[in-house]
Amino acid sequence: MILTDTTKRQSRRKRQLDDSMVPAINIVFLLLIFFMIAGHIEARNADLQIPASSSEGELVARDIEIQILLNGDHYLNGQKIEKPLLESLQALESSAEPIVISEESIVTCHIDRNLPFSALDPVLSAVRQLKIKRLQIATEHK
Amino acid sequence: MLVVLLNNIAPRKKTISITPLIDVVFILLLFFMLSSTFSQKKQLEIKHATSGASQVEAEVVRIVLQPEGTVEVGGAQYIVGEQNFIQLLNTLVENDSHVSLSAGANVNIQKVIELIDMSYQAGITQLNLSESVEL
Repeated sequence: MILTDTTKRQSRRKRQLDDSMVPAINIVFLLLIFFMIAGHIEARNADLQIPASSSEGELVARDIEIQILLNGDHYLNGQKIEKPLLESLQALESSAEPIVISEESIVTCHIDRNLPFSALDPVLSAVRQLKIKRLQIATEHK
Repeated sequence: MLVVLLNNIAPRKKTISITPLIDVVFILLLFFMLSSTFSQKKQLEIKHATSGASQVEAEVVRIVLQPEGTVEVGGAQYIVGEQNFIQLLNTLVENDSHVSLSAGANVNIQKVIELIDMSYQAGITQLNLSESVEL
């Protein structure tokens, strides 16, 4: 009899503990849903801190994306390039997934804010030689 | 006897423990909290006028940003952000001038972006970025 009472009490306490955890679990679920929907995950690189500007124009992903890291590495559409930028851009037209480069193309450049201006020279030179009219520089809001 | 036997055979209602589920949810929550970013990337657009465009060479005003934070425009020096520089930008806007912006090779890229930003805010619409110059 005594054993049954003790078991019942333990069971009730356990149920009460479970019940008190329900609001906490609800909040955790809500937080999870909030972070999943509101946040976005992207590859972060310590060698690429883009400059700050007060521009309001939203950055939209384009066909041609160039990244210039603090260590001097150049990436074209996520691929590290060893050849000069102009050659690599021209090679895009004959790649497995060809990208047509024309005057209407838009080049997006992510460059590290701590680099000197001369680091942008290959991009400016390539854009000029390919007669591309629009160059976007990725920035973050001040 | 039969009742006891039936009780042993009848499937007992099993409760599924939700503790592992909560553990996983907590791990997911931590992952999303630590890896999510909320800052939206912005862009500064530079419209390059290619050769053969209608721009007249004489109308192009060349601005060169120097490492010490001054700009050279047509041989004259201006300090970025000072009144006479802002007046210069306003004049360029009034004349609808085409600005060709460049900077010294060692000038920090952030400074150049700030100057482009300032030019756009002043109302300059035709801005071209040229390769760095050796000062």
